[in-house]
Amino acid sequence: MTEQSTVSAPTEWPVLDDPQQLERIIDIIAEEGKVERSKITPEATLETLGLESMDVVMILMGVEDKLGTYIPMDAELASARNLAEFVASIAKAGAGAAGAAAEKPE
Amino acid sequence: MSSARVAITGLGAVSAAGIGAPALWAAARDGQSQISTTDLPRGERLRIRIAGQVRDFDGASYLDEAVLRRCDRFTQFAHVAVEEALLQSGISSDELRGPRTAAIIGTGIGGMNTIDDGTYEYYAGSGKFNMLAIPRLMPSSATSHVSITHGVTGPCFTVTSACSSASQSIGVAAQLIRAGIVDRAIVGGSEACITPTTVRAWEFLRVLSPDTCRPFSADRNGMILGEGAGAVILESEAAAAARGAKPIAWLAGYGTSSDARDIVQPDVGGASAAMTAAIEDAGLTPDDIDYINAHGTGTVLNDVNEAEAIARVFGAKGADVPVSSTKPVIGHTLGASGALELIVTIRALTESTIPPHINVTNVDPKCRLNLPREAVAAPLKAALSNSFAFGGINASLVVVAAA
Repeated sequence: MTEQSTVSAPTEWPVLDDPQQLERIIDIIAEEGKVERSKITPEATLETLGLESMDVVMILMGVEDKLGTYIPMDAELASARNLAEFVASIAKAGAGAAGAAAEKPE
Repeated sequence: MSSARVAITGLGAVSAAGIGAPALWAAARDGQSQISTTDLPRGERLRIRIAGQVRDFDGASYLDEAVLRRCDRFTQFAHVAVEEALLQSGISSDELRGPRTAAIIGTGIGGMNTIDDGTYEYYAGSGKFNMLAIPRLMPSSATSHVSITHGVTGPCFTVTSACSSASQSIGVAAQLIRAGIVDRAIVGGSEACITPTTVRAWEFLRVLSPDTCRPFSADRNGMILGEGAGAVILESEAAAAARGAKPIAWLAGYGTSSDARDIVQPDVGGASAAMTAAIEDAGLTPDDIDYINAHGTGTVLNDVNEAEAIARVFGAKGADVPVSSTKPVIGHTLGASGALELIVTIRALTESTIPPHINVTNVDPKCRLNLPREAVAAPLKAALSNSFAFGGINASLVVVAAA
């Protein structure tokens, strides 16, 4: 996390194993954050989209409902500098949870 | 402005560390986290399965059946903590009884277990639930029970200001004593709201950590709920001296402020104003403070704000004064936290030991604080305990060693 300050923020969406996952996350941000989908670009920020902390809470509730992952407000999400990082941290948390769930039966 | 010292003559605690202030102090001093997997009937849908629950608590071991029926879990905790504090104080029941004693037991919520059980039974069960639900659930229930049990007929009320409830209860009681309105007060805070719906409501806010509470750590991911009660006996210096009681420590300063801004976002100005007011109220300067028991929740919202506020109040010394949080040890006990954490702060003074700040991997560079990872033996003269609540209500207390 501390490395981020020396590396510039990404300007492209993260490449996910399941490309549809990116679309699902963006849909949730648009729906729960009440933002026009076309404005959700990798370089947009929470501030430029007018998203406040309570909007992020709503988005994360949508993530839990639709993707089945609990993501705290804190941790990596809190240091996301733009939507590319914000989406990447949601996708990463989702992948981690899916992995943990998959391992559980063992 | 009156700056008369107020004597602290008794401490009592119920927490995830068990029954008693010694158990709480031992866990804090040894940095032993008491967080564990929750035992929570009807909690199958929850995502967060850890908390600082009070284990194996059986109210019947402490209260007779007639009283027990009238008491929600939070009131039972308060009864037990108050009993311990009174025993330590050595105060007689005759001295306690009457209009010169106050009782102020803060709580964030009140009888949440009664509400949760009753609501469940009404909507999904038999429809029948506790006949005494109303007097059990009211937030003033713990205070009233303390008043009834001990014959306290002076000012009795409940402060409810979320996570600042206990600190404000203790602070306002000290003001009543200083003003000469009462000679002594039974004060503190109690909370028992680890119920499925409450945990779920906290999950909605996304501030709960799914694994570990790591205040001020770069990799922190939230707080962990706790429950319990802390009780403190306060007496005027004259009243304590008149009965030959030796103070454990002095409650020297209280400062409170409100951000008047946002219902969940904290504010550096409000937090620093409370700390500054408490230190000034004690007749001290920031240089006199040897230890800070931080609010330290492990959330991004609190931690950076609190670290900045400490820097604002303490200047360059802000990065040097030892700081630790009790929340990784017993969880965030909400309306009880100010009392339980003040007890840890007082014991730090009496034991000349700074309790460690546990679970930090790498300190967040935005939190420039001295966080001792191990307990540190050090002579301590004065210490500060912080509570910063949702709703923007802040309260800080300063305690000074008795010697």
